[in-house]
Amino acid sequence: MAHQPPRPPDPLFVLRGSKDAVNCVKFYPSTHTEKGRLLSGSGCGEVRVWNLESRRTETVLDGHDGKSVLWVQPISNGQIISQGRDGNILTWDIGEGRRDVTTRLPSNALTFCKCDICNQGSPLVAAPGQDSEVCIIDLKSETVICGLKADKDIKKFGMPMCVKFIDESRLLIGYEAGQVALWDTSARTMLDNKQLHSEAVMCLDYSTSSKRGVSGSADDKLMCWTVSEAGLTLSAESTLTNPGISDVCIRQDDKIVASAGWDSRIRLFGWKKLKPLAVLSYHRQTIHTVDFSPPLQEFDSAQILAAGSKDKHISLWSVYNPS
Amino acid sequence: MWNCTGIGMADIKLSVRQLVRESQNVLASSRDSSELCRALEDILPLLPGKKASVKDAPDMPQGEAVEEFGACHYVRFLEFLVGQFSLDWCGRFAADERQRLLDVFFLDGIHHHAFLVLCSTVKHSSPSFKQNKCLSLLEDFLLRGRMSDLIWAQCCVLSDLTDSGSQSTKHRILWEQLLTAIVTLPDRIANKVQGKCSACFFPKQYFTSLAKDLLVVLHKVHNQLKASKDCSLLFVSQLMGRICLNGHADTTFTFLLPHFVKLTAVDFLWSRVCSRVIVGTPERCLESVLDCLLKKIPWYGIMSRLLGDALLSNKKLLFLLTNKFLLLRCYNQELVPQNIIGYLADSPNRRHLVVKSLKTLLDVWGDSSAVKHTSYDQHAYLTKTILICLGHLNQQEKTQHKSVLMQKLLSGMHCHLNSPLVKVRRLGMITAEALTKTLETEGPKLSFEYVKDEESRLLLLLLVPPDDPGMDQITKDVVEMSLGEEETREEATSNQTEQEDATGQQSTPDDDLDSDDDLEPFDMSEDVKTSQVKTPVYIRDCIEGLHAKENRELTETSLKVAEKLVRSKPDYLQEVCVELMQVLLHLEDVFEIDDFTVLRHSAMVAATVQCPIQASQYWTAEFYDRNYNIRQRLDMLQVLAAAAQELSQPLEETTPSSGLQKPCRPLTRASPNPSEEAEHWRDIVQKRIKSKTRRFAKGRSTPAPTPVANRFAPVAGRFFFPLLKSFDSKMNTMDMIGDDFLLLGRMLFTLGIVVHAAQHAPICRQMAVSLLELVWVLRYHTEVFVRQALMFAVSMVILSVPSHLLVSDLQDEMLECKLWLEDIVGKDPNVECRGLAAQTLMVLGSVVQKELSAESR
Repeated sequence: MAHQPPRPPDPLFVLRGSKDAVNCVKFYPSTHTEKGRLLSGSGCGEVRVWNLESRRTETVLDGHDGKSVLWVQPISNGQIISQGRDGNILTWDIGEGRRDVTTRLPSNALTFCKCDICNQGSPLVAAPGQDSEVCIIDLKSETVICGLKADKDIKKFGMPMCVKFIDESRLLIGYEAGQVALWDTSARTMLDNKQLHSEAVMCLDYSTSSKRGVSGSADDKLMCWTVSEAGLTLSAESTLTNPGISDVCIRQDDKIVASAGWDSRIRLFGWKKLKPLAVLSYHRQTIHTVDFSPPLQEFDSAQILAAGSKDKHISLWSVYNPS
Repeated sequence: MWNCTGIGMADIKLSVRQLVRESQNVLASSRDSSELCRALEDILPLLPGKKASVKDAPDMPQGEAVEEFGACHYVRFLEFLVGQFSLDWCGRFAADERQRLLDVFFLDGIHHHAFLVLCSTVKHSSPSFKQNKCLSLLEDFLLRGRMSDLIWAQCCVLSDLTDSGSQSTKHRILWEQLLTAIVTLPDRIANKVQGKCSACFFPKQYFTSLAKDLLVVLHKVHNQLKASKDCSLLFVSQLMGRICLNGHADTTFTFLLPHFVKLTAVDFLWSRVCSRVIVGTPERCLESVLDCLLKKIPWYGIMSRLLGDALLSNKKLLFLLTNKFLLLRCYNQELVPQNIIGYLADSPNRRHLVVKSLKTLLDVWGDSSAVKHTSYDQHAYLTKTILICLGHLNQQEKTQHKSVLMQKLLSGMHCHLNSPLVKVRRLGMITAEALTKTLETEGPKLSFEYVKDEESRLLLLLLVPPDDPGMDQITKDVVEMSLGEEETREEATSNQTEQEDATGQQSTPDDDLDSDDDLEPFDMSEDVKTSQVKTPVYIRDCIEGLHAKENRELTETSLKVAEKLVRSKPDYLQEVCVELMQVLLHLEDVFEIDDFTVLRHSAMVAATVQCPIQASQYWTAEFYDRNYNIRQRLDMLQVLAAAAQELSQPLEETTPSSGLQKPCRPLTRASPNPSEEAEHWRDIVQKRIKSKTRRFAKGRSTPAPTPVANRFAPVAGRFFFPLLKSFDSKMNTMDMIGDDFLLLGRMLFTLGIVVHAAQHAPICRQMAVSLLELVWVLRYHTEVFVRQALMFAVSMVILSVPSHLLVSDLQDEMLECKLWLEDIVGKDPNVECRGLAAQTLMVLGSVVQKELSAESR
């Protein structure tokens, strides 16, 4: 009898209680004083902080005027940053039960492009700006350092759809027309761009240790590419059963990558060659976001996968963890 | 001895004769080698080709003596020499003497005489020293390029041909002999020596070298003409014609054409020379010359360079190019029509011929009997040629001839669209699209729906006249002949190094091994395409889904699930099946659904199989209803045939192994099953018993098939008789006896299939009788397709009806059928029909034979 592959696992648990579609989830790393938590941003403008032990909402931050939250990210101890469709990027202080807005940066962007942050040294935020521009903002001085614009070819590239820092001076941008471009932020020049997708690039992730990135789009391809001095080179690709990915995330140990599918399924791939490994189905509607945690002590040092969906649920999974 | 001046002509003749006679005597009788040599040396100065070497005696009489020798004694002297050839005789000469004194007579004399003498000797000799000697002399003759001298000499005789009389007749006879000898030399030698001849007499080599000689001669001719001197190409072109006629055109032109192309590109005089050579070939040879040229010339511009306007003056050429090659011949290469039409269109003097040819082509193309009776290849060739013509028309011609061409097209389209062959229909569509597009660049475009494939793409490519590929392609061989070897060697070495590189790379360990393997993939079978709509679970929903004209996904899922739903045999199927079939029948593929035809067909078949009574009633009634198009009627026939076949199969095989009955997998890995262990010991016991038991015979290894009731037998008549009933009824929308012969043919096929499916059913006999009656009525139908269908039906009857009935109840019908089939075998114009009839007769014969031999036993 042929060896039958095991059935995909069920979620570890599900967080219910979000009032609207979950647009983003992000693990909040644990410190020696506080246990790790999960941040989520929803369509109604709330940012929730979830306690992963009690599996309840700990704090609700409502600062985006009821407009949906696109992106949320921890900065440093007790500090988080969130981007909303009201046009503001807020930083919060949530340490020791506080819930204060510390800074408010207007970003004037009407796109759905999520920001990204580079936490090396003084934190830099890449945020969508006006006229298909990507602005680099210094968070400390609250000033826009530069704007990156594919100026001559706005038609050719379209709007920026997603951004990802490699390091302080290098930034990846995925464009509406399907290109992934590598920018040098200090020289403000596009080092290379490659037409990887036939549709808009929806998400990017990059692994510094393996020097490779992955991108997903509205088409049915997941592309893996390497970044080198020469630019971007395609290294692997995988075809999906149903087109459309809204988010991808590479696990810290560079073993697997997860994609959030429009078909309400999470897909896992091996990171080396993008070999399809698993299809996790729990959600009933489009999944908006996925994130891997660092090894969590509460779960025997397992690396947990969180996924947020339009159906207002956040599912947490434990796959490919040493048991 | 020739320096005595003032000797009269008669004296010279006399003395020459005397000298020749004397030396012949010596040569014949003497055994002394020095004497023999002296005798030959005496004659040598008289040799016409040796003039230059005997400068020491430049006197008048000598010239006359040489002339006299050449005219009267040379041939006979050569014959005499050949007669002397024997091992003994030739052995009397030393090797260098033999060459200097003996061979020289053949190689440096009057070439055509020498050649003819050698040829005729070889022809009449048997294997001997003489034959070998002649062959080696011939070989030398060829290797030293004497052939070109021979041909060149013939080019220089001009005056003789113009004046009539004995001189020209003599020449004509000589030429005829020469041509035959030259062209047939390899064959003759091969006949004589059975392949043991030197390689230079092999046809390929011989004719290549002949082509080289021809080229040398042409170069000489060219120089002569350049110096404004006269010379004649008549012999060259006659020779060329004979070579081509004997089937060596390919070899010759493979060598000559690249040179021609190169030479004519720069020099107009060369064009004239080539044109004269090619067009000057005798009429009967012209076709084989042109046939080869048309296939080899890579671009029509070269055609114009080689032929010039010769076509306007040469009737035969005109006939070949505008008539025979276009209408009667058929080539696979598109190059041939491209060359012809391109050549016609290349010069304003010839352009009118393009339009004229196009009209003729369209006439033939649109002729309904031609469409019916010519082969597909021939017809495709016509179509290609028409498309090429269209590509060459200019604006003025388009406007001028528009109405005539359109009219011809319209009459032609009718018989194309009527054709039962899909490919012929498509040819019609492509031509019509191309023609209307060419003639009316503005305005609405005609467009048909047809399957685009390699062939249609090729056809449309023909609309663009080919560009000049340049000379490099064809003339590169001229230079590359010597370079070829080195290059291949280089390639070989580079290949080797590449391989080494590759192996070197392989040997380095691949550090990027697929380490994904340590992660075991989960089951991903449930990862299927999602769709926005719910899959219908009930047939009524499915019907509604099929009705939804504006919801693509719903229609698609409904269509995909229809067959499965019907096969699951719900209780209410009888009530809805007719409605379902109605929907399916009228369904149009507006959304370009994948596998639309297959899905639709299998759903209809499933419904028919599940409710055969209602369905057959519905289909047979609708078939003769008014408001259907041909496609729908064909669909009905197809469904009936497929359903009959499925019903006649035993049930087990037809149960679909769909995904529904997928074995359920246990969710948890089960612990070792106790019953498995139990079976284990039972097995061991069984084995022990088996080993101790002795058996005398084994029973059947496979169980007997379980009998199943034939599902088709009770309903077979319902499939058959209503369909047969009113085939001759005429309606506005369907006339099976007339235009819609396609339907008639398909119906006959369907009836044949139904009879075959009803094999072993009691009603089969009645069905066979009715079908044979129908066949009898239609037996000499004018359409090939219908006749084929009739024969199919007959063979189905023969195979399905129990064979004892064929020789008893159906004996008369069978005899009639036999007569009819024999008639078809003998008289039918269509090859396939004849073949089919012969096959049917064979089937009939073997069945009857078997039955009779069984009876007699």
